Amino acid sequence: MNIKQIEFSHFTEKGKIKILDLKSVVVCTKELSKKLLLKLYSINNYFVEVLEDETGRKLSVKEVNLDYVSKFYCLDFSIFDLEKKQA
Amino acid sequence: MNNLLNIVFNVITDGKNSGILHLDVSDEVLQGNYITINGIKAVNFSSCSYLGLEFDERLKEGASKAIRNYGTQFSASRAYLSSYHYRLLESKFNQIFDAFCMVAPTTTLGHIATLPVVISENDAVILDHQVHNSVQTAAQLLKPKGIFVELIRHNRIDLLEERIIELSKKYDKVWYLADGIYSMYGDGSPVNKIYQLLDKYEKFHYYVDDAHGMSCYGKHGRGYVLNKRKMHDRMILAISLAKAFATGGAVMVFSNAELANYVRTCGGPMITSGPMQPAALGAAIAAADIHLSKEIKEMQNDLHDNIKYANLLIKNAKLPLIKDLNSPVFFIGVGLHKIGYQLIKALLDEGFYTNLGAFPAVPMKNTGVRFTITRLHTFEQIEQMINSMSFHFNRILEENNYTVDKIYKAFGIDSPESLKLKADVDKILTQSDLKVLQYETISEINKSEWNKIFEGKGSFDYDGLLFLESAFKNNLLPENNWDFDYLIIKDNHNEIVLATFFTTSISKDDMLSHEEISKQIEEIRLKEDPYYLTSKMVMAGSLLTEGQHIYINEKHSQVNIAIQEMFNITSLLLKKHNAATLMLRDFEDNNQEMDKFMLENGYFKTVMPERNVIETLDWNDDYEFSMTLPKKYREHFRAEVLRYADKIVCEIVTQPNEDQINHWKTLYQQIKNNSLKLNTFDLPDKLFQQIHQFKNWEILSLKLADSLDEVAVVFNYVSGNVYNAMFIGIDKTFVADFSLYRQALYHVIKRAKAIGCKSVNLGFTASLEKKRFGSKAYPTVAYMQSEDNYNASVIESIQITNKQNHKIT
Repeated sequence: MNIKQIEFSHFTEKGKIKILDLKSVVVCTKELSKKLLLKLYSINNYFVEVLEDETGRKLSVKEVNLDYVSKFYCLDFSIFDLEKKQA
Repeated sequence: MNNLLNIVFNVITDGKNSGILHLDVSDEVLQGNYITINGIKAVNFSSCSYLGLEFDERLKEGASKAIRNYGTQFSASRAYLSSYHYRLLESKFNQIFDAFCMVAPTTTLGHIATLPVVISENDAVILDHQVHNSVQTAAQLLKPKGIFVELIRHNRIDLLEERIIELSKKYDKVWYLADGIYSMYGDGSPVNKIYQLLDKYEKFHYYVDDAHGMSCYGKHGRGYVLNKRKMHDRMILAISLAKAFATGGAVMVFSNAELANYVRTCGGPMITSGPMQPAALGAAIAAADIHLSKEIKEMQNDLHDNIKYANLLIKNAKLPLIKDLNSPVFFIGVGLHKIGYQLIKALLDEGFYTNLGAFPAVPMKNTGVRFTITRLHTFEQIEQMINSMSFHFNRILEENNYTVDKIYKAFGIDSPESLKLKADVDKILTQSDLKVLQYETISEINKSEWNKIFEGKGSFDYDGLLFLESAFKNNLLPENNWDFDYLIIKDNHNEIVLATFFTTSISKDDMLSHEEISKQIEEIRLKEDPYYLTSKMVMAGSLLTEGQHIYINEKHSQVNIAIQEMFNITSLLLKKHNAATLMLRDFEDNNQEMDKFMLENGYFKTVMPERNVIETLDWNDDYEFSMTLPKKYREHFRAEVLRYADKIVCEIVTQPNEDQINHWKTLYQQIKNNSLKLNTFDLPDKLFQQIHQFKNWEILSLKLADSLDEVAVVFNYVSGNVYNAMFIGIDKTFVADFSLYRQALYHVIKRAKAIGCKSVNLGFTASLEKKRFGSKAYPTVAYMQSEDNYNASVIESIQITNKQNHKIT
């Protein structure tokens, strides 16, 4: 079942994490330190950024818009890299 | 067994036989929210322990500790002694509710302790139609004290306000007894509006049972009613501890200490009943501590995430959720019993246990799958269950030729798609190759075709129906204007598979109730409202005919489709005439197959008076007739019938004058007013004026031989070779002197014989008298369907109390 962004936003953080565990795919990961990671998840057509510790425990959840994703996650991202990976 | 109990017994036994009710959980140790039923490990979607606190170690330890310290019970009336747990627990509840609390062993006992103490003889009580049974049970205790009690339609605040205004003129206090969250559909009491009424009307008091709201909502888990609200000065709250609180027991919450103390001191069960036992008290203290901590909020959030998730899935699957409230109780409408059974069974087979929501908890056609969501469910469990429900729901509906639109209609809710029922019927017709022919008057139907089926079956052959159509149209009173609908279903070869006719009229809802009940209701009709407890009914046949009104060609290969078509048409007729009840009547009783079939299609059985038939007239004179009677009745015939035979003369009247017609009405009225066994409206004047002009009617007039005073009249209809005694009028002053009723029966039978009839239908009621003339009594039943069981509930409550302090709103 698809959960729309507006519907997702009505859940508590704990509920959002449960939905992420069930319904999302990881788009990319940024290492903040040895113990903390920022992961960008996608559910259908929207993105959620999650702060995780080294065990994968989700510490906080933030819904982010496309503009934020392009600025923060796509700076070093090249379409050619993706093509190389797929090849 | 009374009629309602009989229906309840049949419905529950059917559920039991279908493997969905009266089930046992076989686990010795429960593993989370799984239970094992008949060897199937299933996720439990029926628990009312919404926060899952029953598995909390602190509660278990609280219970263990209390048992270690006090044993398994502390057996003393609280009037004498209470263990210290009580005082401790009540002080914690005082904090939770910021009010004055009294702990009771169960919610039912809490109601029984409270209501008779706080409500006095000068008060009036209004019960919400759907208020929990435990409140209704306690309210019964008020009636012997003469306290005025009435039902009001569920959540109808507009009607409630009207009643508050009206009853305030006469009574000191007006109490409204309701639930916070209703246990079947999971809908809520409109608390904001009720608080507005509390502020507006000084005499208005609110008594509310928030069993399903406790712990799930509000500060410290105060419940749905007190979520973001304080106790109103004129309200009493009842809370169950046997649901989300997870310990058993109850709390009565009062807005002032004096009242709490008064109930604690005088409430019957607080003096005489046993207390809550140490284990439950110990667990309750631990649960109360959790409620007073911040943890409760977190638990509530977890629960509400689960509820939201379930709501999203249901919406996405387009399942007909009946009330859309964020409560942990969900009700998916399925309409018919058989669909409910099949769906619950399919879910159980896939490992999900849900409940059947069925009659009498909901109206007959409002069956549904009731399930609950708790904090212990995972999103995966919820998603798997609803996916499974969605799959089987659509499959079973298709298999049963039923639609979502019909379900919404049964619940009186507009479906999102608003599909037209007519379109569905047309679709089915195309598939089945059957022709469904509908007419609104018998004159549109081929006379010989109709009579081929119905001649000799009663007074509803072609000419009989022409008369009824004439007599019951264009009358002054609404109850005497009937709508006629004829249905003939034919196959491709024009063979009739099913035929019947329906009449729609205002009828008395107590038509088949006990005479004592009708007597009470008639008093109200006479004094206050002639249409009290009446509603529009679509009936197979009519109020003035008897016999097998539905012809079914049982040998035809498409008979089941034809019956299904008839059910579809009856749904349309209910809608067309805006009627509340449907009755398919005059079936012989003791046909279990038919009972089951009808029950599966949403019809409940109700007992009618016996039909009485004299099946042969093989005799030539009185002596031979008497010899056909059982020995014990021969003497009766001689002593009670022949003895007066020369005192009475019988004539066939064909040209009555106006005075005689008026006299007939008087005679009819004398019988009608004293017979409530089949309680109907009076026949219209027009009927008496026209009856002699119509074919096949014979009017037997009985006169005293010496004075020629007319003392009785019998109206009969001859159909084929069957003589049908339809209705009678008797001068009550002569009844005893000449055994007039028996004389009337005697002359009916003699007349039937004289004109060559082969049998006599003597109609309903007075079976013993008729047996004495050799008639056979056939136990007869009707199958009914009701869009709304409110009036039935009112009648049932009268039945229970046998008092006259009830009224409908």
